[in-house]
Formats: sequence, structure tokens, C-alpha cells
Amino acid sequence: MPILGIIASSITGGLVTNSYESIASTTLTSTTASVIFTSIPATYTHLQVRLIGKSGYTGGTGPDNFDIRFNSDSTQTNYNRHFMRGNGTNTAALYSNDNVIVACISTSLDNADTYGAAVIDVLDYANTNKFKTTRVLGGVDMNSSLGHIVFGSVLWRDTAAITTLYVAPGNQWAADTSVALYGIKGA
Amino acid sequence: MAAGSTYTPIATTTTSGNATSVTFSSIPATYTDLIILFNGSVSGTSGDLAQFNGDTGSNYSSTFLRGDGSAATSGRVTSSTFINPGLTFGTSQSTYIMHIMNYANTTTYKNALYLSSSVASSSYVGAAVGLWRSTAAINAVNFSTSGTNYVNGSTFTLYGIAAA
Repeated sequence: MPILGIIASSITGGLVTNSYESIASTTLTSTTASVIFTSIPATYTHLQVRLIGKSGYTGGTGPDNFDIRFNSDSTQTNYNRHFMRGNGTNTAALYSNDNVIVACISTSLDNADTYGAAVIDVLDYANTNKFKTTRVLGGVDMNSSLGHIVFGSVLWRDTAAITTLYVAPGNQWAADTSVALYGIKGA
Repeated sequence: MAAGSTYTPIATTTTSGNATSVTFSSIPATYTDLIILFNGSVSGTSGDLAQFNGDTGSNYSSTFLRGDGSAATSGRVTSSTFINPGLTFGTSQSTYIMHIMNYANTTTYKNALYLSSSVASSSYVGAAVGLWRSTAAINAVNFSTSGTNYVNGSTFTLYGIAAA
């Protein structure tokens, strides 16, 4: 028996929790080198970045990678990342001493309407006693041509509180890329 | 929408009467992303399938990565009539979180990211990405099972997240 009758618009006064807050977002109207959120307040416990993205790369089809940086630290060797990746045929476990989030956005040579997506959790970002750990779920699917799903982590070996967050592919973000930053409060 | 509290519950369904599908309709376009939490089980060893806006055309595809306790595998489903995240459940409790990204924009095709787990002996822990090749804003999501029905008491909860 199908269940119908869940009419979302008929629900009034939806409960809004106070522990998950929107901080800032941007939807790009033209090709842009990077998206940077600055002056992130230390009033949350965790951050979450949610994006749909396409790179400006014209040298080949996707999937493409993008970098994540904290507090303008562009020294790749200050980061480590591990990823599990599936491409529909093979699986891989990837490690590198850098800040690259792998294989989850499309490029400018892919279908114009196809973007990749990622949800990135930055844990205990304001804590000054811990290195910072980031968890990533991302993927891009292009029907018959290709698909990649990735799950992984990025470590920034620094105890500084994160106040700036940067995401950028090697060859710019394409227009209509959308990136949003949220804060999650602790008790 | 101005910055501030979000992650708003929109609707919840608890299945009964051996339901074969669950539909959230008339979803407002006032959020940026949708999140659906499933906690339940299905009859037999089967999966959970998703469609948007009642589109039954071959406009969906998916790529998944999963582990069954012995090996990690990856697969794809292309030109399908639904998103099949390949995350087979069983009659034991299963859960997944589904992120439908930028569901109301009318510029891009729509992505869904999944993270799933099940404790059934013949099921998986895994992740998946699904694609709906349409630029239409999503206003309805339909779930159905490739098995017979959802076990009574399975829950679907729909949330909306609004960016600043």
C-alpha cells in the first residue's frame, strides 16, 4: 500500500532547531578562482560546508579535485588526507600528504548542467588543543559517462582555531557553483 | 534567507499497512538542501529507490561504494527510472542519510548523496551519489522498495536546510 498524504506545505510553524545555523553562502555568477569564508566566529562546535561544484578545467572531463585550506595555510604538507573511492568498477583507498578533496566535482568539458556535490564536516574547529579533522562525503555522477563516490578525511596538523576556510579547484570554480557554510553548536 | 537557525523538520512518516512507497509532496522551495533520514527495514533483501517530481522516465543514475564485511565493491546504475543507491537492506534495521543538494535551483541537474548502513547479514555499509537529469526544482520525493514493502514502523524524516 503506498503512503501518500504527506503534504509538506500543510505543515505550519515548523520547528526550527537552534543548534544548526547558516553562517554564509555564495552562488557564483561567473568563473571564480576560489571561495573563501573569513572571520568565522568561534561560537560553534563544528562547521559544515555543503557545496555543488564544477571546475573551470577545460583540459579534460571529470571528475576533478579541489583543495581545502584553513587560515590561509597553503603549505600542502601541513595536511594529510585519506579517501575511499568507487568509480562504478573499481574501489581504491587513497592517501597523500596534502589537502586535496578528490574526484567529486565535474569540469567545464562535462555536461553543462552536471555538477558534483560534497558535504564536509570540520570537527572541533575552534579548539586550540587539537589538530583539525575534516570528514568528507562527495560524489559526481554523469549517467553513462562516469560516476565517482568518495568518502574520506583531511587532517590539518595545526592547533589554531579555524577562522578562515578556503575551497578551490586547480582551475577555478565554474559559474553556478554554490558553497554554503553552517555552524553546529554543542551543549 | 537571512543567516540564522535552520535544519528545519518538514515532515515525518512512519510506515504502516505494509506500505510499498512513501511520498513527500508539495515541498516548499524555501530551503537550499533537503535531508532525509531513513530508519527501518524492508521485506526481503532489497533496496530503497527514489524518484523526484513523479518523473518515471529513464533520467536517473547512481554510483555506489559499499562493503559487505568481506570486500569493498563499487557499481553503477545508469539511465534508470529511479535512483538506486545500491545499498541493499534486509529485514534487520537499516539506516541512511540522503542529502539532496540545491534541490530548488533551476539551473543544474540534481545530486543526492547517501551514507548508509545495515546490520543484516546480507547487506552493506556504503555511500552513493545519485543524479536526476533535470533542472526542475524538486517539489516531491517518492521512495519505494525493490522488495515487497517497508516493514511497519519504518520512519522517513524530511528536513530543510537554508543557506544564508
